[in-house]
Amino acid sequence: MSVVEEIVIKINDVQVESGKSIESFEQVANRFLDSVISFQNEVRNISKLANDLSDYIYEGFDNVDKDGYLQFRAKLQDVIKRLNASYLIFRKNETVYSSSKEVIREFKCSILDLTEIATDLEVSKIELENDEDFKSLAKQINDL
Amino acid sequence: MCTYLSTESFRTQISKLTKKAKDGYSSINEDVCSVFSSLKHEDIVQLSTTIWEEETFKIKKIRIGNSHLKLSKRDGFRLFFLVRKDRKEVVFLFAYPKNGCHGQIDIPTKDRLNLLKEYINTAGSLVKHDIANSLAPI
Repeated sequence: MSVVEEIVIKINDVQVESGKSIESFEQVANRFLDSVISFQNEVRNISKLANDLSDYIYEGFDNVDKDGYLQFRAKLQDVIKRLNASYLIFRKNETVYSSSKEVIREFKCSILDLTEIATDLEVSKIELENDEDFKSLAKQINDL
Repeated sequence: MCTYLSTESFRTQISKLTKKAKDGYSSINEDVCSVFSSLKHEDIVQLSTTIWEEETFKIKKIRIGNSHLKLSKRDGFRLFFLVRKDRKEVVFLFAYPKNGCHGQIDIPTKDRLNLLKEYINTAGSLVKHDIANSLAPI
């Protein structure tokens, strides 16, 4: 067989194989995209729930007294801990993170907002009551 | 009609945030005004969230949208202020954005105490603002 014929055969081999591969690569790529979309939808869903919770607590903040807060304090802290743990998992996995950066960034913002309102609850309903420096300032402001 | 006052910390912060238009915070004065200009004193006293309440005042922390960047109240600014119950007076203590180059997660308790100390120490020389004119000093 001549060199030219060998080359033609080899080209044919690659052509046939790449034809098969394009089809299977496309299937693999579609499966990967489906899983990325599914993951993003799940993360968006959790972000929305966290945002709704943060907004609800914000709007109802003044209607929560100390006893009421103590009823859900531990649960709220646990939820934030779990959300942070999930975020760390997403962040650590390069493939997951690079495929869904924006969604994961928004998820982090949701966690920070929920943490902020939880901190405000803790400060307002628990800490300030026991803060002598603060109570002294409050008395001075009362007298202004 | 309420009197709107501010401490130096508030004014310094506003000045920092509005210095460069590209930072995205240039609407903060208007955004603050848009919240308060339509509220009566009794409405302000009832605004959520109340961090602390005493006989004559409430300390509040509220969310304000950023109209320049079209950010929601959650993603916009936080305003930390005091509203007197014994007279129609609002004192702006501090404001900060949640996002961007000057974004903050929260005000630490130590800083909150310092802001209150500043209010006490400078109560006689607070600056008055026009809520109908982008917080222009009066």
